[in-house]
Amino acid sequence: MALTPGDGVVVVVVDALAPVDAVGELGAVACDHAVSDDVAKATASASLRVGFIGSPFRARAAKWPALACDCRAPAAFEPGLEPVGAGGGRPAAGLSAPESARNPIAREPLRPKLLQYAVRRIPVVVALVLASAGIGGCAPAMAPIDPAARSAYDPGLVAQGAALAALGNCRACHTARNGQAFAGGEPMHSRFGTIYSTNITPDPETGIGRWSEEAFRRAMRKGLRNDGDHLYPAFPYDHFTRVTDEDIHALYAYFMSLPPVSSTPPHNALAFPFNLRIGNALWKRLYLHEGPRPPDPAKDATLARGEYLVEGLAHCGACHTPRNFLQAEKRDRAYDGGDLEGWHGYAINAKNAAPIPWEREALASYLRNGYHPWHGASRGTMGIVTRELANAPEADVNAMAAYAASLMGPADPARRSRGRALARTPLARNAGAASSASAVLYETACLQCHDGSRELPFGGVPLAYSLGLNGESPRNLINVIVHGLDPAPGDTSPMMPGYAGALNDGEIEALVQWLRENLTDKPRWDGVAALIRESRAMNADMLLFPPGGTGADPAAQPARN
Amino acid sequence: MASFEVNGKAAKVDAEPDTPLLYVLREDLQLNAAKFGCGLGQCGACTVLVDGEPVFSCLMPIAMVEGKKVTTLEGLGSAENPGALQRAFIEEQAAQCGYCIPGVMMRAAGLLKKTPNPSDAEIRDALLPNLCRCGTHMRILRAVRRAAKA
Repeated sequence: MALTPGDGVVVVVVDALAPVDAVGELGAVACDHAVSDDVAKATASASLRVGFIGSPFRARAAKWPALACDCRAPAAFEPGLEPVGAGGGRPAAGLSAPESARNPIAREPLRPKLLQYAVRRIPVVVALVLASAGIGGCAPAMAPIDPAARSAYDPGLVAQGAALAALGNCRACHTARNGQAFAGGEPMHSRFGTIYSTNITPDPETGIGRWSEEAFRRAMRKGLRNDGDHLYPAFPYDHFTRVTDEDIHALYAYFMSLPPVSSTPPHNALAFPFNLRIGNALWKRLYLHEGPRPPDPAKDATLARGEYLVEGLAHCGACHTPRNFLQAEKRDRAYDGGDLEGWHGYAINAKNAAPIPWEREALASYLRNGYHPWHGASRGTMGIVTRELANAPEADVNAMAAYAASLMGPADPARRSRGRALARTPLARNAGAASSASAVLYETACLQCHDGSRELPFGGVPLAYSLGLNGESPRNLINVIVHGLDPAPGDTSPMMPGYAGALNDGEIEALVQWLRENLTDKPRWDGVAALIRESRAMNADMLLFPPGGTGADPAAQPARN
Repeated sequence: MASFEVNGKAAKVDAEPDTPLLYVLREDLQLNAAKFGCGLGQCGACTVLVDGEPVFSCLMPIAMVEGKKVTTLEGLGSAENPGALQRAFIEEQAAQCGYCIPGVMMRAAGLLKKTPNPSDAEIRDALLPNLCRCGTHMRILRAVRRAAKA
């Protein structure tokens, strides 16, 4: 190892008595451990390793020879570097015997001991050490370009980029509420703290005005900034890495053609050690599989296009796949549904619980219009997605719908015929005796619109059709009851009054459970009360989305409300 | 039978539990300020305060009002002795046809109770659920500002 402390290196020593996924937890625990002697010695040696020492997960550890900054000084890495954990708990060079080597418990079978360790809060020797002050650079900085020397882009290429930006929903994260389009500053929350999106207008000082196309491509593919530092995966480069050179070229032309906005987003507010960007190197090693995938020749062109978009630029999994605690999508549970920014992205695989099963035509219509009479309205984070997709090429949205429908698979005939029967059955008013306050409320308030007499967007979706009632999480149902659906400014859209002021938490909970019990065949929800409190605390502006969207005219981007 | 309080007075009404509060106010209690507009919670003409919160009385079953305190426009003052908010609306001549105004005023009353000195943005945000077809919006905004200063 040729690195010295001056090379800007973080040494991470992990004695993981836990699965790979637990590294984040261990890191968090490490925060309140004083830096140990081991760490001091490790620092002195500046050997660049993340090791799973003495771990029963050696097999997994062996997959990563050296998890660290492999871009700044690639020559410094010995290609055949033995994984720290692979040698039967052999400590890393330069380290004193780590705790695991000294502690016999660490060598015993894991399961029974793991809990014990967790309880004692000494599960690890984790140290995350800044080996030097020079942590900033982990990859070579890209040569800045001269914005003045940039030539105008072909309008056709810019329009193509605009369409791609709409498919990628770049705007939602890169535009702060009441901010200029694409000027960044929108907070994104996670258990580690808050990350603010960046300014991707071509402002030379605060945006990407000095980024070359190569730098832009590197950010998309590898999650690196112009200066070589790591981007957080809140920027979904695990998906964007699949975008082709050609599409990146068009996206670059589009963003570089936007009006530059001088705006610096607030500093990220992340807890140690997640505020150290170098940690992303580890994340990438675990979860980033770089580069576009060759299209599957067995798929027809529409499905292949849909797959390319859904898995790549449109990054649907970012919300619709549950995340592990390192905020990576759980690959073994792809599209099982996930929570983000106070909303639930429903399962879009075989677990999708829509009473009238989704079909590709319905899905395409929903994605383009933001509602479907058999499925309801898209709001919250998805509302912004569908607003953007309204401006995307129809063929692409249809392809995405085809692929997403294929993820859900064909509904079994019984479910399909139940769905069809449901869609044909006129709703019986006064179906049950109004025996509870919730039943009365359903009759008096909900049914005024949700009686099926007028199709969306002029009436509400019959609630028996709604994934909000039938899906795996009550979160969106609660959000909509609490905040309502504000009318989309300047647009035709469904709307619904919010009941935050009219109903107290107990009344909302009773209503939510009543709806679930009486209008679906699913069991009662868990955790409703907590979700109601969360919903009340969330910014109701989340429900508003701006007029317009990412269109072909980048100069006419309205501010997001 | 539903028991609740309206404008500081106890009210007892013999009505089916799913009867909207608006119907009870207008038909049983002869409090006619709140108006029926859309019946869907989309226009705001029926807005009254229930325990201080503006609600669409057309969508509020009387069963949900049991034991609560309802305030209607009549509770803010009378024609002979208008309250501060009512005076402000008169002084700004903030009504044209006037159908929406009782609901607007109740929404504004709910706002001023919580936020005595609202910014223009807060007034606009608060009044968003109330529609006015005549277009007296600028006068309405002025009236709410005037009431806040009164």
